[in-house]
Amino acid sequence: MESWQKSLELARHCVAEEIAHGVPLPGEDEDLVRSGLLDSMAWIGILTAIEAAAGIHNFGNPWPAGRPQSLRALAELIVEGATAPSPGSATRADGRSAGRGSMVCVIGWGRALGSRLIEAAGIEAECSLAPGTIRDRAGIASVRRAGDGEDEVTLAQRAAEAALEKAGVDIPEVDLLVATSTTFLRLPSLAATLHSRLLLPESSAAFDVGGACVGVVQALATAKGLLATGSLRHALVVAADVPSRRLASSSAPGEFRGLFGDGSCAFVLSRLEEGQPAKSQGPDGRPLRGPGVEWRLGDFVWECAGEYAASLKLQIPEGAPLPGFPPLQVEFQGEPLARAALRQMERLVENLETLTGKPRSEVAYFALHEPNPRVIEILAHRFGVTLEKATPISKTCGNLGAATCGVNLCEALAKVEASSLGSPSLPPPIILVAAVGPGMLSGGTWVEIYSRS
Amino acid sequence: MKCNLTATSCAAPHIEDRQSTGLLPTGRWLSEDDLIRCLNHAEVSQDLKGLFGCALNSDSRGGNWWADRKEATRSICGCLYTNIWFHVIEEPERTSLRARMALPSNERLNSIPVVDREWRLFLHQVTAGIKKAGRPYGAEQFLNRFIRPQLLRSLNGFARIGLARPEGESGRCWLMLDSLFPQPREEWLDGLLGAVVDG
Repeated sequence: MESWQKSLELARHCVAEEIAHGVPLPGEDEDLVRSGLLDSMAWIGILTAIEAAAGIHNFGNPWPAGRPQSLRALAELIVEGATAPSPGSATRADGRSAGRGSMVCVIGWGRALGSRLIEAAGIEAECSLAPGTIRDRAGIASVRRAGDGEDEVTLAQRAAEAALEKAGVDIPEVDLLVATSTTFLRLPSLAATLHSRLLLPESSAAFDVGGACVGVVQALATAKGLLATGSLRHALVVAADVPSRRLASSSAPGEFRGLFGDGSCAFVLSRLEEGQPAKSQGPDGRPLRGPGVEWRLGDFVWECAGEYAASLKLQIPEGAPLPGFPPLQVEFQGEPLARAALRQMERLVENLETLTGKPRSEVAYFALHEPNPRVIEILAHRFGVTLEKATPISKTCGNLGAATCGVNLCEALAKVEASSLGSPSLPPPIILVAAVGPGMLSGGTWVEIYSRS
Repeated sequence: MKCNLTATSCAAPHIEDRQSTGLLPTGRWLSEDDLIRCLNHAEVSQDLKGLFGCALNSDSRGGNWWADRKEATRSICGCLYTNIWFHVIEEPERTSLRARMALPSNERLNSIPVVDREWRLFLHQVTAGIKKAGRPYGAEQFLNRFIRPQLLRSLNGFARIGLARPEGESGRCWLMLDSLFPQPREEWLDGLLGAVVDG
């Protein structure tokens, strides 16, 4: 009975995502396509969403002859699919299908913050803001800024080295580097520069992706996709931003400039075959690193809410010299931006709940992009979770731009490893990742423990 | 100690060569910090072209660089490095050490032989130590996982790159890593040989 109710709930959720806003959900037996409520593409979208959420391979394909395309039929198929073993699949510790053959896991992570700590009062003075604007209104106690000799490259290098060490992956083993940065506006690009700096092999690919604050999610998705093609084994994903310098000579208002800190994050992704250890091994087969955890990287959800595209714009003036630090033109509408960010984040988390099949109450941590700590406090309140689950890094470091969401993910991963949450006796914890960026682009994914070594 | 140096006949680009006729006691002690400070006052370059005043060449992807004897204007130069990675080449008759290095210009030196006496001795100690302790990993893993971080963390990260004598008729002078700072320390071996596996 419980299984039926859950299946029906999942079917309803997926159908609700596809039908037009404001249209009530149909009855359980109504044919969704014949009634004209959905077109065939929307129907495929529902099947795909259920496939991902329920872990049922090739869900609804082919659709059983004679069955209506209804909520009841969807729920029945979910129940049937959940109890029938899918061919070639393996069963994970949590009982869900692990998919066929291979998967992409996060096996190492690292982060680096600017070495200078500036208290909120210092930022307020620097940006000519009224006392309390940053500390009380935005909720930022301090920010971390790059010191002398630190920039996007050095911060990225530190994070990457830490991630590789954690993963037990040596530099010559890296097949792919995907980098993202909002503030590194030079050529060669950050990926090319990092490739040389890290001494990656000549055969290793390196390229950049954009996305600003959602860049790290886009970089993870790009790396995962390329690893899944089968020819690459290890990928390094790096995000690094130093907004303090880029915005220092910009037209950005102090309320915007003052929110940012400088930092970086890095992840080592690895394509694992069933039963194959990710970590480098010595000749005796023992891992060369200490015990650790592999985290399966989930699917991705994306959106672009163009109606908020004008809320934040940063551009280099026409004819400005490159390379160097040309002043940026910044258009920033704080209130609409915050509202839009909240709305998009909520939608992302709802979609991730559907995909993972796990309600937010069962999520161990939320690794979110943080425009500022207040936004996260509001989100945590709306989600009905404690603020500790959102690991708000921006309170002490500031908004780290493209790196924020990734640094939060690093924090969350470390917290799980250090806590009893990672214990084999408990259900595998899950961490939701969600970010929004100018556009307004949004993207999310999740990581969940695949194995513990 | 101080070298008693005298002029010797030499051909470009090895214009800095001197003949040592012995060592003289000086009664003074030079720390590694002081030495690097002095070396920073000598020839220093931030990029590949500045090392020997000419473009460098490579015959293969990832292979060592060489300078043309007719183009190079000197045979030794210092540089900072922003990253380093070791390669240990084990052959039946000898084990040799090579390095890849990234310079501040973000250019890289590939597969440069490490001829620094202290580092070569250190490599032998590492190799012997691993063999004696029966560790299931090689000298290369040990150097890169434990010694390399010491170098990258050090404020004394500095290298002196030299040119070998011209190779036969080709006139190619291959690059060598003459000195690598910080110099290896005995204590880096203490207790580390067990640490790779023990985590």
